[in-house]
Amino acid sequence: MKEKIIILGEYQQGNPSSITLECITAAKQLQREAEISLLLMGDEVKKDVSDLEQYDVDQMIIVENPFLSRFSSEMYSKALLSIWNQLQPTILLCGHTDIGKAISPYLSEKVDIPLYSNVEDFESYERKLYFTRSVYSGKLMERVEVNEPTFLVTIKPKKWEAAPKKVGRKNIIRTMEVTIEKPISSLIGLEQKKLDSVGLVDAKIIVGAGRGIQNEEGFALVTKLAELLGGTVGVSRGAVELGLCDATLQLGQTGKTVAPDLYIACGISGAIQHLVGVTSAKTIIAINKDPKAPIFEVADYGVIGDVFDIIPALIKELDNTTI
Amino acid sequence: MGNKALNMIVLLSRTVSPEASLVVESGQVFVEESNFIINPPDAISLEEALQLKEKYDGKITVLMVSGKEGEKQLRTALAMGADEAVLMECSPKEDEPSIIAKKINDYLQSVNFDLILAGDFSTDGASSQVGPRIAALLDIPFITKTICINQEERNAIVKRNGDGDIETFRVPFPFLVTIPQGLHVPRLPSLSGIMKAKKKPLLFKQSKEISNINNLKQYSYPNLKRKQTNIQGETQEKVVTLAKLLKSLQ
Repeated sequence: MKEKIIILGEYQQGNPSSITLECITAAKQLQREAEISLLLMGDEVKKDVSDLEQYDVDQMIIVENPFLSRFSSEMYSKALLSIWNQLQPTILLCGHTDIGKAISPYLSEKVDIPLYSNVEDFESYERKLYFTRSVYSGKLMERVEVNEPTFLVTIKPKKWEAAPKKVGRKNIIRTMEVTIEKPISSLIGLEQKKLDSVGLVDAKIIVGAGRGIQNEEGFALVTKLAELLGGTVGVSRGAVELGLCDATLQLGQTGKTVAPDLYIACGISGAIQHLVGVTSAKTIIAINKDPKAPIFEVADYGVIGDVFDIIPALIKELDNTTI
Repeated sequence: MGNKALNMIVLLSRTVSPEASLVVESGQVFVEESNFIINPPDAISLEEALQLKEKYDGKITVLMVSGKEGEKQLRTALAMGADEAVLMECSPKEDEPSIIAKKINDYLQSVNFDLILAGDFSTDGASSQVGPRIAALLDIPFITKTICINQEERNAIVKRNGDGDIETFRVPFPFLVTIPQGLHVPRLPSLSGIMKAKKKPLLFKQSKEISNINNLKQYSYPNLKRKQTNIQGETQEKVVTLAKLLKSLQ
């Protein structure tokens, strides 16, 4: 029987999230003679997601249930378990995201299938499959031999290219039912977060703020620079500890992983825990007054100087040259 | 109805301090015992438990699956304010999240609890698996990225950090939460805490060995180096070069 790979899809504002498109690329890299299905769960998926037929997979599996209108670990875990039991796939692939992180271990335990988490590279060598992951606060890489034919895997965001749409394609769209008992936990409130960190993961330009930005004034400078470049602000743990912003903006091992076209690290020393979140950036520019700061070793361009001198002058220069 | 005193289990693991340097020989990692600390994300969940105890009263049991050496980190947790500690002994081979979760489950079968708190992930393995696995084994609800726990009519009112919004759930006890990074700065053990910790109960529990097909693992250093072009000159010269560079990149 043909193997089945299921990708646990995530979507936002009518489109699959970039991580889901990255999962499609990763699934193909496994080079199994497998049927690749993209699973989307929700309340009204068919209404919410456009171009369902055009993703580069063999089929779409749509699961609609009122209990799935919003992610909840309880509901999504149970729904995924029901789908696994019905389809008996060979491999389940999902992002190492809030959703993937919460429900893949649950499924792994319930179905007794091994789970490889936060994988950032697949490799085949002499007919053996190896996964690479970042461990020990990003200080080492771990290469694991995968012995099992059936497994679950979560992939680190931004490590694979997003699979493009295939215009004109006609995917099979299969609708599946799941029976979910009334949840034990119930959602009773929603409030908007103060700082919008939603766009951070997909931003093309990110200006990073670290301990060196020191205060509100420094943070305002970084924000202004980001606005001017059409980008957004991400921070290191140092900036969070200074109380300048919410931890949702944090990049690095304990925060988000990004892969912008451009990352400008301002007043960031370059601790490995931060670097692991940003090393996928195409170009890295570092501004720091300490010439010995480790950030310079991982930067394409380095500017040694005080952020309080460089950034205001740069803002002025950019303003002048645009006009 | 009043609030209930909370019987809490805090899951701890021991990890290598982020400041420690690691030695790799023939693909294997060597760490000196003195470099082990309480896994920092777990210390944050212990801090949450300590604050809940201050608010609602109750008891905190810290639970760790490790070799006997884990006693040191458990004593630190007791000195921070946990009431008792349990060390489930395991062999160095039994380091997979699925095995650790099963051992924790074995212990939890025989005790009562209202709430289990776990860190978001371990800084060593970074797989984020143990918390949700235990919820699956115990068949209790779990909420990840929990940022606030209150009580209302003997249910918990739990806020979590969703990707777009702050979500509030009503959930009956018992349940499991994982606590995200940056929620608290864990307290340091006080001198009197260290003295008291010496008299607090610390149980060593044996557990049956769980056989494990160990997947071969090799370790290496990541390559992060880039071209490192230094933009030189006076401030204004640097800024002009930088501005040109930014234009060319856009």
